Formats: sequence, C-alpha cells, structure tokens
Amino acid sequence: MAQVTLNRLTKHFDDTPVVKGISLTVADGEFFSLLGPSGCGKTTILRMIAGFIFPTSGTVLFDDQDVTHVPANRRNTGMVFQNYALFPHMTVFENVAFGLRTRKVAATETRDRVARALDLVGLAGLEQRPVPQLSGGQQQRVALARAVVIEPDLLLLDEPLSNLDAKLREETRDQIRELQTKLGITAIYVTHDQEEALAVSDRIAVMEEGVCRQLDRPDAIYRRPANRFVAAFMGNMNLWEGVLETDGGRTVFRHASGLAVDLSAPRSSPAPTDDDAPAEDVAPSFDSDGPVYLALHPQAARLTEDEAEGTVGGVVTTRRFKGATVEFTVDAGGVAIQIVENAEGPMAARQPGDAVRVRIPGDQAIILRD
Amino acid sequence: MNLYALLRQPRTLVFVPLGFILLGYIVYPAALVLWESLFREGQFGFGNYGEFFDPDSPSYMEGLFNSVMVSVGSVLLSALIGVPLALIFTHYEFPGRSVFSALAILPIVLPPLVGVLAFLFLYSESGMVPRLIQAALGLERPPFSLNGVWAVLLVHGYTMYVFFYLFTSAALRGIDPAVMEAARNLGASSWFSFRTVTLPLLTPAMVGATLLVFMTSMNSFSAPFIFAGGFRFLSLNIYTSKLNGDMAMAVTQTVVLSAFSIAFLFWMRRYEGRRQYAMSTKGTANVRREIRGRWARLLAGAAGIAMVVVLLLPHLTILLLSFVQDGTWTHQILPQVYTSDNYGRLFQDPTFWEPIRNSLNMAVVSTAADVAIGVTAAYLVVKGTFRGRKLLDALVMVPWALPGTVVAINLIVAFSQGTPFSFGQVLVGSFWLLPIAYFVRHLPIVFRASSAAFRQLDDSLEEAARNLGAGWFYAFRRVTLPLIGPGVLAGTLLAFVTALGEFVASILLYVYDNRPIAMEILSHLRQFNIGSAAAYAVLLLLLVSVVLLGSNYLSRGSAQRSLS
Repeated sequence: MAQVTLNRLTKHFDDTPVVKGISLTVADGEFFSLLGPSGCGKTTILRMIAGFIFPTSGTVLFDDQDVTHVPANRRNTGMVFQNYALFPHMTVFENVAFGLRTRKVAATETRDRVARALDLVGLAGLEQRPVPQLSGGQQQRVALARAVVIEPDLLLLDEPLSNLDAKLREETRDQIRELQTKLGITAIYVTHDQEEALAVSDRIAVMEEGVCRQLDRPDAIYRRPANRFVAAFMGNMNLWEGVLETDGGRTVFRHASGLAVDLSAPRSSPAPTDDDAPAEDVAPSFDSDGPVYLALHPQAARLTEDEAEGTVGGVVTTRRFKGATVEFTVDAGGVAIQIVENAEGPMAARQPGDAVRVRIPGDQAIILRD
Repeated sequence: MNLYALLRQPRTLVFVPLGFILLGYIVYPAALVLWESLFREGQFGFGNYGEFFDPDSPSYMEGLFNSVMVSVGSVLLSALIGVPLALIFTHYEFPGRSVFSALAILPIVLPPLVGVLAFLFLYSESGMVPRLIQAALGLERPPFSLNGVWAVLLVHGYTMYVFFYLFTSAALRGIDPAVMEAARNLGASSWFSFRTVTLPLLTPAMVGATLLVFMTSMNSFSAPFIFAGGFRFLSLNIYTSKLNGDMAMAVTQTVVLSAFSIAFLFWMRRYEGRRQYAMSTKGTANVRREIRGRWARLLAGAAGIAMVVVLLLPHLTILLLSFVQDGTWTHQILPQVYTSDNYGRLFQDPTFWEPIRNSLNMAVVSTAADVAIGVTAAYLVVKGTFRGRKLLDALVMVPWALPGTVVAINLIVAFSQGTPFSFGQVLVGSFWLLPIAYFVRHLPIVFRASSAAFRQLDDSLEEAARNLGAGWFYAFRRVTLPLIGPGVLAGTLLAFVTALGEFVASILLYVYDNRPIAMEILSHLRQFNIGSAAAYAVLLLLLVSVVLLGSNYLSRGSAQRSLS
C-alpha cells in the first residue's frame, strides 16, 4: 500500500510538452482517476508512475521514496492495460503466475495465489485455458488477476474498460472498485469516460492539454465545475457567455440575446462542503468585469407554462425520449437551452414547435470566469 | 451431362487448363523421376538406392551429409547475424539507424552467381582482401583465404541472414509493445522478459526463416559450384552425375534430395502451425530506446559503417571489376588496367545484348505464366469452396521444396521424349525447357503473395460494392484489384527478378539460343574475361535493383510480407 506523490511532473516528447507540471498526492488506499479527452496527458502520467517512461522534470514519490528513475520492474505496481497485454503464448495460469515467477515465489505458493486471484475475479477453473480462447470480458479479468496477484503497492488501470461492450463495462467497473476496496490497494485509473470516473472514484483529476483543470471529489466536480472545460466535459451543461450587471443590489447575468438570470436569490442547498474543496467554488465571486460564463445543469432548468418572473419564452426544437427522462432543446430568442424533464412530468409531452416557457433557477447557476 | 455441356461450365474452363499444367509440368516430371530411379540398367528394383546408401562407397552419402551439415551451419550463422541486427534496429535509436536498417537487405539484390563471384574475388586465396592485408602487414602469406566448406558457409551467411533479419523485424513490429511493458511491470528484468516473452513470440518467424534458409542452403548450387573444390554436395553431385551421363544416379540423388526437402518442409510447417498467435490490437506505440552517451553513439555509428562496408563490398567489387580490361588482371593484388570497353560493347557488339534479351524474354514469359496460374490457384484455394483445395495448395507449393537442380532433372527426364503435355514435342534442346523451369520454380512466389493478398481481402467488401450497384467486373476492377494488386505485384516482380538471375536450373537446361545472363557470366569467367563477366553482373544487378525498388515503391513493403 502506498501514497503516491507527483511533484511538478513534466514530460516533453521531442520538445512538445505533453504533461506540464502536475503536482498531486494520491492517498493510501484511495481510488484516484485521471480523466480527460485523448491527448490530455493522462496516460503519459500513468506511464511515468509505472516507470515505462521517465519525466523530463519533476519527481514521483511512493510514500517517501523517490522512484522517479527506478526501472519499471522494481516498482511493485500492478498494471491493467487498455488491450490487456496478455501474453498470447501462455495459458491463463502462466499469465497470472508470471509476476510470481519473476519474484521467485515457490511453486506451491504460486499455485495457491493464482487460484485465489482467479477466484477473486470469478475465473476459477480456467487455469489451463489458452488466452486467445477467452472472451474479451474474461481476458480483462485475467489481466486484473495478473495485476493483483503480486500484491502490488499500487494498481494502475489504463482505460481497462474501453474494449468491452456497454453492459459488460458497467459490471466490470463495479467489480474493479469492489476488488480495490476489498484489497485496500491504492488505485490510479485513467479514463476518458466521465460517467465511469464519477461512478468509481474517490477523487478525480480532470486533465486538459497536460494541465490539471480541477481536482476534487466526483460530486463536487459534477455540481461545481471550476471552469468551462470541466463544465463541458462533465456532461451536457448549458454554457452561455455573457456579462454580470449589478442592478439595485441584485446581480444579474445577461446574455447577448437579452436572456437574463438573476443570481441574487439565496442559494439553495449548496453541495456539502468538504475540507479540501476550494472555498471560491462554493459561491461565485461577482466582483470583476469582462465576460463571464454561466453553467447550468440541464436537470436544473424546467419547462413551465406560467409566465412568472425568472422564466423565458421559447420554442421546442428537439425532443429525445430517454425512458425515465426526456431531453429537450428549447430555442429562447437565439439561446439554445438544454433541459431534462422527468418523463412522468406534466411538460414531458411537449413536441418540437410548441411554444413553452423555461424557468432558469439563478440559485443553481454557476458563474465561471475561465 | 454430355461433354459439350461439361466444357461450357465456367468451372471446367478454369480447372481443365490448371490441372493440365500442374499435372504436366509438376506432377508428371516428378513422378517420372521417381519411377526412373527404380530402374538400374533396365532392372526394376532398389539398386540405385543401394548404391547411394552403400557404406563401402560413401561418396553419395557424404554429399547428403555435407549438404545437411552446411545447411544447419547456414541456419545458425544467418540467425546469429540476422536476429541481433533486427533486435538492434527495432529497439534502439542512433544516428543513421534508418539508413543502416534499409541497407541491411542489400545482399538480397545479389543474384546467386554474382554474389559468389564477388566473394571469390574478394576473399579467396588470390582475393583482394587477404592480399591487401598481406601487403599492408608485410606478411609472407595471405593471412586467411576463403575456400571449401567455410567459403560456402560464409557466402550463405552473407546472403541468407536477410531472411532472418526481415522475418524477425516483421515479427518484432507485430508484437504489441504493451506485452513487454506488462512483463516489466510484473517485475521481469530485460533478459527475463526477452527469454519468456519476446523469444517465444518470435518463434513463428524464426521457424519460417529457419525453414527458408535450410531449404535455400540445401538447394544452393552456385556457392558449392565455385568454392567446394573436392568437397561433395548433394545438389552439385546431381549436376556432375548428369554431366557424366549417369542419369540413373542423377535421378536417384534427385529423389533423395526432394524427399529430404519435402520432409523438412512438412515437419517445419507442422511446428509453425502449432505456434501462431493472433496479436490483439496495439496498446501502445513502439518507442525505440535512444542510445545516449558519446562513446556509445560513436560505437554504434562505427559499427554501422563497418557493417555497411562489409555489406557493400561485394557490390562495389563487381562494379570495379566491370571496368577491368579482359586478360590484364593476373598476379597483381588489384587490377591495373581499367577501361570502359566492357560497357562500350553494349552499343557496338549486337551479340552482347543476346543473353540479356534472352533472360528478359524468358523472365517475362515465365512470370506471365506464373501470374496466370498462381493468381488463379490462389483465388481458388483461398476463396473457393470445392473439395481438393488442400491438394491444389500442396501441388502448387511443391516446387518450393524442390531444389533448382531437381526441377531441372525432372524436366529433362520428362521431356526428353514427346509427351501429351508438350503436344508431342521433345523439349530438351529447345528454347522452351528453360522458361518452363523458371515458371515451375517461381510459381510458389506468386502463389504465396497472391494467397496472402486474397486472405486479407474481406469478402464483404466485394459484397458492399455489389450492393451499391456495381457489376461483377466493376467491383473487381474498383475494389478487389486495388486491394490485392500490391501484394500480387510484389510477388510478380520478385518472381521476375529471380528469373532474371536464375543460375541453377539454367546451367542444366540452357542451349545456345536461350543462354541467360548467368550462363554468359560463367562462360566469360571460364575464359578469364573477368571484366566482361563483371559488366554482365553489374547490368543484372542494375535490372534487379530497379525492379525491386519499383516494387517496393509500388507496394510499400508488401514485397517483404510476401516473403513470409
């Protein structure tokens, strides 16, 4: 078990910076995700932690030990690769036992530990199967067993679910989390799927172009994205550019189309604050000039019929039925508003072309500077 | 069904000519040789084999034994050169790496006889290298000289390591680098992961290269022909038996050599088949390790340059000798009199062109036939559903296992009288026997390249084209042909250049009217016209290089794939 610390870690490939000074600490036993679009440097960071590549500058610490230049085979990490990287010329047993062979574990103990590891991932009895005969899901679990059987200090997962079909992905995702909790291993998980990261992680670092744009607990990241990039990446948030105006003690967000959102209403149920959450994320600061951005979850916007204050008029342009919910796009004088309604709700039956009104709750809007 | 209706079936239209040719030029000659080997002075029995395996006169057995030993040695030597080269070029980055790795396949453009000649002039007792060293160090005798079995081995090592190099490089490129990383991640040292992961994954490629080198070496004719001296080799023995008019022993040795080659082929094939791994998609990109440190880089650079010199020396030697005036180079270390006359005759002496024209003509004719039969057979074997596909596959591939000497003897035996397959003509002594030999020998090259191309061709592509309204021919022209074209072309050009420089079957089958370049080189050499011989060799080298370069350009590397 180990705590992992990255200290101003950078990596250049042929003078192109891929990782630009990342500093973070993954706590002992934590499930930590590196989330971001492809090319954001998340896999590069993982590979530096594994020791396959060495940083251009900065250090990697396991607990208090500097491992920046320790060769990959002396780090005692267990890695699950995106394509599993199973040895195609070996059986399931030989694959799982490989790490024990390099550690010169005795034959009887090897047999026991491989059997236990395979049992843990639900593949008991498949020891003698050649690897190419396994299904994708089974191969994935062999890779997992192979990584944990060596009792690593650190479990590294590089998009381990991306080659599985949707149904299997969810199942395996939960299995990985369950296994990690049971074994109490520190895990670093790389993914580009925000839903996956939200579901399993203790904390998430959202990456863009080699920089960490936000590091927080899943619920905090989801509710209070720190910038436009995170807001856009974490889901279909409404994101409008505008300016802040102060009008008789009230602060109002105004879009170029004229759409205005009153932000001075008392903020209802702010997300539970935790100690490491930066204070400025809790309430937006209204003090500076220049363009700002308003982010709003589509679940927060509501279709309505009454022309009360805090509503705008518009026309439904698209309607997507999703089973439990219905997703609408409403054109409100040039602003496209994404809205998610409960499928049982009174407004759920609205069709494209219908005139509607939209309630935009100012207390749930997030103002972003960046 | 009456005969007319049968003939109108499209299937019949393909199978009848295909069967006729394969039966006539591959099966029938081989069967006849086997049959004739069972007659000794008109008496049916195993008398010839008795003589071959007679412990009291071991000369025949000696030939077999030496052939096998030299082949094993060639495999080891080629692997020892080719595999480390492939590993270094794949795993390390240093100045000039890409140039060196491209130059490493240079020996492949040397036609068999030309390469052997270059070695003769470079390293033999009167060769330039030993005598230059002698003169430089003031020694009494040349420090070393190349002859006999060691010369043969060295020539084989030089020309055949390319197979190991190409196969291993391709296999290394095919290995998912993530697999090696997984091994490192699980605690394996470099050596442990090489031994337990890399090496097993390279096995299929190594088996393929071993097979190719062993067979090429068993069949090798030109190196023993020039260097063997009193040493006996099976392929050479066949030639001398035939020259001495002992056809009975010639065919007997032919049968033994074929049996050996075919048995080896099947044995290795079985092993190969058991050990094929489909690699999943690549997890990470292959990263070459940069060689750092000034001394290490200098060392790598120096080693690379030394390698290039050794590799290029034969080519340069031939080029140098092509400017030597005939009859002027006798006891001097280096030739003294240079002239461009050898090339000048190209434009003055019309007979100078004849061998070149002959070789080109025969290469074109034989390769055209190879394409017609090879592509058709490949299509039928890969995409067909009829029974007997396996048999067709085996039939077309048999010549691959047959040494050139064997093919030649088979054809001599079969067509020294009129047969239905030659429409009653006696082909021995005619122009046609040699192109037929080229056709038979190089059919597997085109067949293998084409079947590889067809195997990669997804059936649904043609179906998609048809579904979009394309007619059969349009779909073939716009979809199938562009996809199989590069592979087929690569095989075709390879067959073509091999035919251009062919020597082994030529020496047994040529007549004056169709004497190919290789025979012209040999006859000039016998008259000590070293300059003329080398000029022909240079022209041959140029032809081969141009075609191979073009092929490489057109197919972007599938020439290499078609080899494996």
